[in-house]
Amino acid sequence: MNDTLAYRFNCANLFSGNVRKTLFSGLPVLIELNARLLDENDRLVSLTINKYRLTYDIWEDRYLQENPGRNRSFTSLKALEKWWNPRDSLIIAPVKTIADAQNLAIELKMRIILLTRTQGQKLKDWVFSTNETEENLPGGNRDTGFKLDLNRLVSLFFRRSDVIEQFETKKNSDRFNVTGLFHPKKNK
Amino acid sequence: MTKIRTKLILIFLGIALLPLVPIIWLVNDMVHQSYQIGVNPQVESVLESGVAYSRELYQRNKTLLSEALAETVVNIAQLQLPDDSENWRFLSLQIYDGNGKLLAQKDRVGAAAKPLNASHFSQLAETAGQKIVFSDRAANRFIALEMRRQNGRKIFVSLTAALDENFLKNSQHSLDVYQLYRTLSLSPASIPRKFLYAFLLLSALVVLATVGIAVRLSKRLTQPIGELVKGTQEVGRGNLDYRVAAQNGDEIGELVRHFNRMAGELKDFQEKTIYLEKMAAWQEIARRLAHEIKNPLTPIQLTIQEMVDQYDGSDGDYQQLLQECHTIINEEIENLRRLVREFSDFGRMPALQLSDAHLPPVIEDVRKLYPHREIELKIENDIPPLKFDEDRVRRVLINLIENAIQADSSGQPIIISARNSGNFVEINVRDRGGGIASTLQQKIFQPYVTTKKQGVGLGLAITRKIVEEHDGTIRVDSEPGKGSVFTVRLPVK
Repeated sequence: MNDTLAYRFNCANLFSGNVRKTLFSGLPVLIELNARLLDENDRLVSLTINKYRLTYDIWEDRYLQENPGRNRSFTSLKALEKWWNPRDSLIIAPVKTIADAQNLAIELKMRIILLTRTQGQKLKDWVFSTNETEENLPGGNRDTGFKLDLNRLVSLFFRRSDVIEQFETKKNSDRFNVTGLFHPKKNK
Repeated sequence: MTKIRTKLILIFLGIALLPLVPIIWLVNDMVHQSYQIGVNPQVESVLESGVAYSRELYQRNKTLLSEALAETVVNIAQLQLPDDSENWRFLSLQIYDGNGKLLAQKDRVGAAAKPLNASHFSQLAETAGQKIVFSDRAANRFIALEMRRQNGRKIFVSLTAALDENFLKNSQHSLDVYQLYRTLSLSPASIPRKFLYAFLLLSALVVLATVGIAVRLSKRLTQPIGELVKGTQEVGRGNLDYRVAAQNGDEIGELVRHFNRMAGELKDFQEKTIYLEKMAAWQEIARRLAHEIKNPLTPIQLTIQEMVDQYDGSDGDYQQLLQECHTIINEEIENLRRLVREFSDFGRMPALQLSDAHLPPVIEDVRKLYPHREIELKIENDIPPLKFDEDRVRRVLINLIENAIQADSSGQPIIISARNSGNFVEINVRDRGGGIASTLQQKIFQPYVTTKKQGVGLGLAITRKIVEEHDGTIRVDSEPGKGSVFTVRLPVK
């Protein structure tokens, strides 16, 4: 038995709204798929995490998807959307490890990160760059010697985690048995 | 004082916080409005357009590169780089055979290009057309690759070029700004909130400083009040010597000064009352003593006179003895009479007969009583008229002058000075005698205290009583061996 349990899912309109805007601005979009196989008592049987980093090269008009182990390039958004709908053959566990388990369920958590820490740091650097946000002194003769670095003060309230913009969704499958998957009529 | 201090601190805090509330609201509103000036759909649209325009220009340039290669005629024997265009700087022209083997290459001076690899040719093969442009924006290297047929043979021609650096830089900058905008727009409340927090932190520091100042100020304000409270408690307990530490010149300082003066006056009044009570008691004793002693004196004197008169003188020695005893008894009776007179005078002292009068003539008159002793007068001209009992004040002066004369046997002049010191007229009687020991100076005005061999010690007690009955004061400043100064101060009423 070298078969594996895999899952597939559909996510319509994945590349719309802010995801689309972020992608079109050339910023990376991170997608994290977290699949947990749970037994009948909701105990974790297996966990698989798939991470994807999507970027759009504005200049060359192509989409790049980086996934540990394999990178893909798409020439259009349509092609990218097609790859994601449906998302197929996402392996969870070898069948032999769960053959006897009853009433299994898959809990799929999808997290989309629009603003990465790197980009957040860039924003922070920009906000706290004196040249960007502080006006120059009106004249040297008006300098009293007192200088308040407002940006430095504001930076006290900035944490790296602050600038991450993300959202996530969670879905649970129906309960199933491995044997039922091979004989779907008997086990609906 | 804790209550007042707490109230003051709370008042300061309230004053600091009251304007802060609308200011925070205003700052919050302003920060958000300022933020919206930069982050709004119009700005986004402009930035998007900028990026789109840059991208279009970039694609057009790539097309131009491809066209430039297409227009380049190649001759293996004599390869020639095309002339640079507006945006392109051509670096290398290469010719490959149908298998991708480099046949010829012409490089720009100082810009040698590497030969293409199999990947380049396979990517060209994947495209439907016969040309492709490879881009390496980071290195600013662009390669246009084209397949041609020459003399029936398939060849590949590549043209390597660099794009105008400014264009690349500006287009990338427009993208960076747009990406920054996207980042900002993804967390619209985050940045203004940070600035608001910073303002709140600053405000908190200001409030903290205000509280610090309030604590310090309230302590400064309530400390003297606390000391005054303690002072009143001490005075209430009878400690009239307690004084509150001097303060600055504000109202509280003035209050402290008034309190100290009041305590001083209270002490003076208490001392005066005690003194007058003592004096009244001494006067009563003196009056009774005078009465008890005076009554038997005349019968004693008459009896002894009768004894002398009745003796027939038969025994001469006895008669002489009797005469001597008679003389001694008479002398002692006279002494007792004088003593009784003094006691009687002291005990009798009638009430003051006050009238408006001038002091200098009184002093002049008293001096005339002592023609055999030089008395120097230093009387200022501005002595105002006083309300006083002339006979009593005369007696005061006589007592002081006689004391001075008895104390100073050197014959040096006694100095009497008088001057106006505002609310008082001050009279000084100075001698250059032996002075009074400091231990005795406090007691000298008490009855029956004297340094003289003769006298009952009532003179200065009477003097003080007269002065105090006039609401005046008397004190002595003396230095043993150098003399004494008695100072009488009579109020100007």
